[in-house]
Amino acid sequence: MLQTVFIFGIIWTALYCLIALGFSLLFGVAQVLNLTHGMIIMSACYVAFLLVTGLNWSLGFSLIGGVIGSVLLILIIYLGFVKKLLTAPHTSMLLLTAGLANIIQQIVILTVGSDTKFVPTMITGGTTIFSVVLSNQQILSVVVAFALVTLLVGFLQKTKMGRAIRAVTQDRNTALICGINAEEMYVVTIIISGVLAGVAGLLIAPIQTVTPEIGWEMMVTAFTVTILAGLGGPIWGVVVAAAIVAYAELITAFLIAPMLKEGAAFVIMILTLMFKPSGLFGKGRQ
Amino acid sequence: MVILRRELLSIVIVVIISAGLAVMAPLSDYDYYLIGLLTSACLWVIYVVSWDLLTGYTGMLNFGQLLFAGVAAYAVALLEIHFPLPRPLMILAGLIAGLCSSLLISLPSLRVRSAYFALVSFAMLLVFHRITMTFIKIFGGDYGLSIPRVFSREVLFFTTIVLMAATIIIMRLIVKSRIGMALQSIREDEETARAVGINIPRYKLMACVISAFFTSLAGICGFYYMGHVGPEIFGMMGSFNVVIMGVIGGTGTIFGAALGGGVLAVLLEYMRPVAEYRNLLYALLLVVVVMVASRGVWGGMVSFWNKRKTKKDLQGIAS
Repeated sequence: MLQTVFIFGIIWTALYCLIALGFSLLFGVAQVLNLTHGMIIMSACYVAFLLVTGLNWSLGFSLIGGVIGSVLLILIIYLGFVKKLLTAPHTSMLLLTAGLANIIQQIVILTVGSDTKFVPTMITGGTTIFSVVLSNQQILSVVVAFALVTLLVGFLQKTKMGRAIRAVTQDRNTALICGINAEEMYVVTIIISGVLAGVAGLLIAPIQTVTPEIGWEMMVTAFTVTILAGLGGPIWGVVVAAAIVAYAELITAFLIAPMLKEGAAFVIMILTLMFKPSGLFGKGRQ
Repeated sequence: MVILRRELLSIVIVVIISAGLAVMAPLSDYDYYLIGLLTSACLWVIYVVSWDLLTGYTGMLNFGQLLFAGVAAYAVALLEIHFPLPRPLMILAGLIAGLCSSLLISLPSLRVRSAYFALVSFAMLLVFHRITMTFIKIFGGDYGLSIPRVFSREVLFFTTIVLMAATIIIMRLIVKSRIGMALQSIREDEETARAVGINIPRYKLMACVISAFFTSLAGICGFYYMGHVGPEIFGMMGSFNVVIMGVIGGTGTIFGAALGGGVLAVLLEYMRPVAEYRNLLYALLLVVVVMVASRGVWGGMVSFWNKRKTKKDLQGIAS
């Protein structure tokens, strides 16, 4: 049981990292709390479901299709709606993204149905690690997730564009003075966020049962990890925060009831906001 | 007192409209369908008006308004079933439970930016939905809790109408008083509000508790009317409907919220045949209103009226 919690904790840490990074990156750069983030992950799950079961696409093509689909979706959301309200009060932005999230969810319910879907695994077979039986799918998820996080860290730390994005996060006005095109960085961040959400959805779909409701759950998880890590902090901070949330949820699920695992995330959210609003690794601003 | 005199006209109008609604019951010979429709519409008005104090005036976007109503209703239901105390005591206990739930979401978000409040309120709704579905022995799971009829429909109908009128009038008086001014200054600019000496956490807490007070009372009324409370009250769509009604009616005016709540609640009933598309339609409407007319129907009406008045005044000066 201890090994099971430990191993599955690693899997969910990896996935929560992916979920939260896209959300927190966009929140940091553009100050947009994107409530559609969970819905984009959810629709990527459904794209995977439709491509694999409906059209019998191969693994590689469905992955690419799912990622392209979620990037397109988030670009439509940004260019069509969010961009026009960037200077509006934050209430309008929250209302807008909440409305859009509901529209996406309702469209999925109307077209695919609200019943639970099981997405077949993309690769078969299993491995036993520390006497815990894992499917190769789960191992693939961990590998892909950590590879993506490493790639993202490299991009943000080493490339010129990555530095520009971090500059906009830290101080938008100074970045503008230095000749950084903030609007362009928003679009780049949006695309990164879309890719992360798409991959997260595709990796989660075969592991978990898929319902239209998971969109909201993913969003709450992303938000919890984001504020626990704190804004403007390093990316490894997000990894640590994701690990804390993942293990807290797993232990709750094992010891009390599987249905209450969001409760654990919620307790973490409340405690963070009450006692350390700037997060574990955040700098300054709340 | 000055506020009372200035608001006299709107108070009279609210009382007349409420009296008109109340008279419809005897006129229709106590038609239960009509009474049910009006009662539920009045409850929605109370929810939306209370929501408006939080969101429209204080800038704390609440995605979980029905949380207060749900907690209060479940508390009363549990007492009715397991510990039948005298009824006023039970209602008081339900009210206290509702107020406690408001503390649960407001206390963590007093010192952080208002945007976080939206997500906390939302997550709270999710958690309470999970709790009611997990501890089936206590909360009845999907079926919820039911009790036999305690008060007659007529009594509850009139109570709800009185409660609605009282909510609108009291809210209107609050937002026109110094408290309302403080709340609006928090909405506009927290830094400046702090600079002029407004105790922001205190006022945010106050707004939250007042809002929860009326919502809890309405939740208890609704529970006694239906004789039932289920996990759907913690569902996403119910509270989201409150948000949509408030935004479409117009935030930050109380009357706009009341109008939106009343009209859309009646529409909600008539759209039952197309229930699958209802949520999609409402969400689309919300996005359109936020994008195009962020002040809602009432705000649009007010600015149209003001423009006409200015035009008339200008013509008066010219001639």
